[in-house]
Amino acid sequence: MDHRLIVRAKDLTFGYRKGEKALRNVSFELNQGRYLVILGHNGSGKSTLARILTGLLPLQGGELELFGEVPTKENGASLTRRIGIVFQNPDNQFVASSVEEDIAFGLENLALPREEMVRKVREAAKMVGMEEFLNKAPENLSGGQKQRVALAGVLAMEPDLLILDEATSMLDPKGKREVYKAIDGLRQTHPSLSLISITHDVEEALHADRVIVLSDGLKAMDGTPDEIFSKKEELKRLRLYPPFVYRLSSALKKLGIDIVPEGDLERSLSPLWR
Amino acid sequence: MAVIVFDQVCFTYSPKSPFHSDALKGVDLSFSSTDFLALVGHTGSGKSTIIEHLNALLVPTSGEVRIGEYISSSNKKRRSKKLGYLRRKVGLVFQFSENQLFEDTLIKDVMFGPRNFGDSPEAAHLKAVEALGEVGLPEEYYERSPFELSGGERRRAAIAGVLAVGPKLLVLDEPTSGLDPEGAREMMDLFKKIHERGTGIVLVTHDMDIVLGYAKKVAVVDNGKIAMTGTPAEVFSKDLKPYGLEKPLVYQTIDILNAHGYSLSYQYENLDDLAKAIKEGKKQ
Repeated sequence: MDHRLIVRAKDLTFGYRKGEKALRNVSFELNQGRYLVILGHNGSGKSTLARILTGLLPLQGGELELFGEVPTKENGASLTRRIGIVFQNPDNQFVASSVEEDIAFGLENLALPREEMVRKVREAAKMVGMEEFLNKAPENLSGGQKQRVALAGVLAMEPDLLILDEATSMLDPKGKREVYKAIDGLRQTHPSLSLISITHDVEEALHADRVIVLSDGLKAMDGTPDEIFSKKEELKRLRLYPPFVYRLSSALKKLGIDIVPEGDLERSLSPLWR
Repeated sequence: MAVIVFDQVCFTYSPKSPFHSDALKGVDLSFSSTDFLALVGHTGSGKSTIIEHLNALLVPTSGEVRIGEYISSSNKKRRSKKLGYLRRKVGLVFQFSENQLFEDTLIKDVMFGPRNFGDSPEAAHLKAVEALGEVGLPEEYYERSPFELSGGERRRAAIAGVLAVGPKLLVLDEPTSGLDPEGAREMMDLFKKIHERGTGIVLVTHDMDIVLGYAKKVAVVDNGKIAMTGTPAEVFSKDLKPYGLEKPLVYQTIDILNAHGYSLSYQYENLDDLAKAIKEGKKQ
C-alpha cells in the first residue's frame, strides 16, 4: 500500500488566552490508510488539536502539512474538501427530514446527475449499514443510527481523511459499538481512507493502529494500542483505565492464561476454547 | 413516602390528533422510595415518559401512579391536590441539566428551588450551601456566573439545585451522558453517597456497566411496558437482544464463553473471580 504522508504536525502549540497553553509542542505524522486515535480527558487539549486540524482554529505555533501541502488562504478550500468531519452531537448534524435527503445534502452542491447522486447516497448508506433506513425520519433513529447517517453524509463526499471529533461520546455503549463496527467495515472496503478519531473512550482506541494520549496539552503517550494499554501504571497516573479486555487479560495472565486483546471481544477470547 | 406504585398506567401523547402516540401501554411497577432502581430500554421504549410521571409532570391517560400518599390518576376525583408536596419530595434531574441554569450567580441558582417553595433567603442560603458542599463545589465558586464553570461543574450545580429542595426520591435522566469515564465515575459515586444517606434513586441510563456497578434493582422497559424486573445479575443473565439492549462486558464475556462449551454462572462481577472460574472451566 502507498504510505503517503497525509498529516504532518510538528510542535503544534495553541493558547486561547495569553500565558495559558491548551496545546504544547504536539507532533505526529499520519500515513495514508492508517487509523490514529487521540485519547484524552476533558481539558486535555484534544478538542483544540481537532479544531486546528480541521481549520476551525488558526495555526499559532508549530507546523502543519495536510496531504503534503502547507494550508494557505489559496489552497485552504481545496484541502478542506478532502477532509470529512463527524462531530459530537447526533441531533445537531441532521439537516434534512429523511435519511436519504440528509446523506445527499453535501452532494447536492456538486451538481451531479440525479442517477449518480442516488447511487452515491445508496453506496454511502450501505457502507455504514443504514441502507434500509433511507426513507426514515431522524426522530425515529437511535443515537448510533443518527451518527452512522452523519458518517454516511461525509463518506458520500469521498474524503481522503476522516476526522471523528468525539463522534461517539454522546452514544450509549450499543450505539458506540455500531459506529466502531461501521468504521472497521469501512477500513476493509476502503483501505486508502485515513482516519483520526478524537475521543475519551479507551474501547474505541482498541480499533486503532496507533494511539496518542494527551494530558494537559502535552503528548503523554504514543504507541500501538497494545503498547499503550500494557502500561497500567502510566495509564493510572493519567487517570485512564485500560479497556475491559486488557483488564480481563491481566487477571487471566496472573493465572498463567493468555488471550490476545483486540477490538472484537469474541476474537480476543478465542484462545480460551482453542 | 414509602412505596411507589404504577398501576396499569397508560399514557398517550397528543390524543385524538395526527400526532397521537401511545407511549405507555399498561405499566405495572412498584418499588420502595429507598431503592436504587435503574430503568433501562432502547430509545423510544417509554423510560422518560415513566419518570415524568414520578412528579406529575405527566398524568396518566388511564390507570394511576401512587407515590406514598400522593395519587396521580386519570380519575380527577382520585387525584391528590398537593402538587407542591410531591414536587418537593421528588426531585427530577433532566438530561444535560447543565443547560438549565439561569441565575447570574451559582449560589442564587441553587437557592431558587428552596425560595420557590417559600423558604426565607437565610434558610434557602443554608440549604444551598449544604447542597453545593454535597456535590463538591467549593465556596469560592458561589458568586461566579454559572457560565464560568466547566460543563461537569455546571451539571453538579444543577444537581445541587435539585438537592437543595431536600427530595426523598431523586430521579436522574442519563446523568453521565457526555462525561468522560472519570467524570462519570465521580458523578455516580456522588449518587451512591446520596443513596446511602437514605434518598431513593431512580436512574435512567443506557450504560449497562453503570447499572451493574450501582443499581440494586433493574426494570427493563420495552414498547411502553415493563418487560422484566430483578437484580442486575438476574436481568443480565437473560437474553436482552429482544429489548435492543447490550449487556455489560463481563456478562457478554460469560455469554461468549458459555456458547463455546463453558458453563459459567452469572455471579462474577470481579474480574479476578471470573478469571479463576475460566481457569476451572478450561480444565474440564
